[in-house]
Amino acid sequence: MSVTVIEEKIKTGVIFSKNRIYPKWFMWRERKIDVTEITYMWNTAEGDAMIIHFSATGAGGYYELS
Amino acid sequence: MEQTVEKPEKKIMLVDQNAYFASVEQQCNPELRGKPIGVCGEGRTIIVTASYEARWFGVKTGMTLPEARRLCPNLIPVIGNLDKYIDTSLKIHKIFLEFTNKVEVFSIDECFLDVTETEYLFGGAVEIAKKIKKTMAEETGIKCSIGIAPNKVVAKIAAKSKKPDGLVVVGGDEVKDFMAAIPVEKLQGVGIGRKISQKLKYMGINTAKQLGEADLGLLKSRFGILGGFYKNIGLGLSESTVKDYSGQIPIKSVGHSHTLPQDTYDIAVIRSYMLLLCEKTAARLREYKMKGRTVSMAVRFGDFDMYASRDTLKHYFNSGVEIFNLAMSIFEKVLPLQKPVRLLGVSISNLAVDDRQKYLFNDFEKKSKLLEVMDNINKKYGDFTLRPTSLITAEKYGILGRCGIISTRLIK
Repeated sequence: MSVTVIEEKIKTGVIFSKNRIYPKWFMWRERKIDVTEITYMWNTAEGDAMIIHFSATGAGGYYELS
Repeated sequence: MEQTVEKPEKKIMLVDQNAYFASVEQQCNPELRGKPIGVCGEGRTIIVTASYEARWFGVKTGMTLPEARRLCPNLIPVIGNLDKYIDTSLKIHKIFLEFTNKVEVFSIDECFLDVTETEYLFGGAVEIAKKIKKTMAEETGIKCSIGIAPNKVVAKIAAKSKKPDGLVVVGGDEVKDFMAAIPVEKLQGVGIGRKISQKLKYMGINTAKQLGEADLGLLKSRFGILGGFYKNIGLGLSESTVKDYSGQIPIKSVGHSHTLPQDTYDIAVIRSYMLLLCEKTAARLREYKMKGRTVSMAVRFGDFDMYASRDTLKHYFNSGVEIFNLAMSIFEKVLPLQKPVRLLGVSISNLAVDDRQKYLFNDFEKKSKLLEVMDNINKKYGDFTLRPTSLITAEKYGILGRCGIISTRLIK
């Protein structure tokens, strides 16, 4: 099992529900990947900005999105 | 006729998240569930936490990756993410605070709860423990072991006695029997370290019961004032109370540590990392509106040998440069380096509230204003948006995901 650090900006489709945000799909290298499951969420802060991190599965892979 | 009101028996809980870092990683990535994994630092090969599946093969915290792989060839190394673990800890604290405000954070994966005064609201301490387990599993996927006892010492030993996912209750009248069979080496974590337990064994004291029955004079002659403390542990006695969650803010020290991506002899690299740690420490100190007088510096070498020392100045300070100057003067005692440096740690203690007094001297006033402006920019745009140029060496050498934090995080 290998992990690749990508750190690229991606285009993401999200829904807002119950004061929360959930990614539904993201475009990466011209490929649309549907999020099958959000397995974990956590927050960090960078200055005043809160960054929400998601662990997600989709298209047979595991991804961490921020 | 004189009436005496009996105090209710204390209900102290210790909640211990099982194989915490590994459990979080297994929750994040379904591919890792049910598999032997070892959480390691980035660029490093030491196992920080092993999953239970790896522990069954004998993999333990502190082993190198090659050692662990000899025992468990299918071990999957996973790079840890402290941010993730801290955020999960805070979520778990919120669950605890639903039941009592007496929640004392003992470590990132252990908390004491005193539910003596609130248990009647939830159907008893055992019901609270069951609800905590259920909510933690639902909200974070993490399992925990819980010990319930009349004091912190017995609660901690009880929680440790059944892992994973245990719930052990020791009533006041069961403490003696419960402690009787506990070997002294299992008292680590409640005040008796490995070396002390070895010394006790040399004295023929092998169990908590024997420790409790040992002659106080003998223990005092061997361990000084701590002899009485050890005897009480053997007896399962402790007067230590569980602190209020909001009452834990008084900070005794602030510090950071950092494991270098590679061991090094290069003084320029070491100086740059030291400055990075000192600037981070100073920024946090100022965030807490505090200043300090004592700087402690620790260095771990490539062979895991440690050198640590401290120095105290007469005046209080909270600038990174002043902390750095003192830390480097301590570090100079290990020069010339006989072995490469693996980890650096800096902390400041002897703290006092920074009353933001105006300085009589223009230079001090200017420096103080400069730091304030720098902090405000970094607070708004993120750590080290403004930083000394001398940090570039460390940045080029590689900054790992995050520096270690020498303190406890609480929900604000």
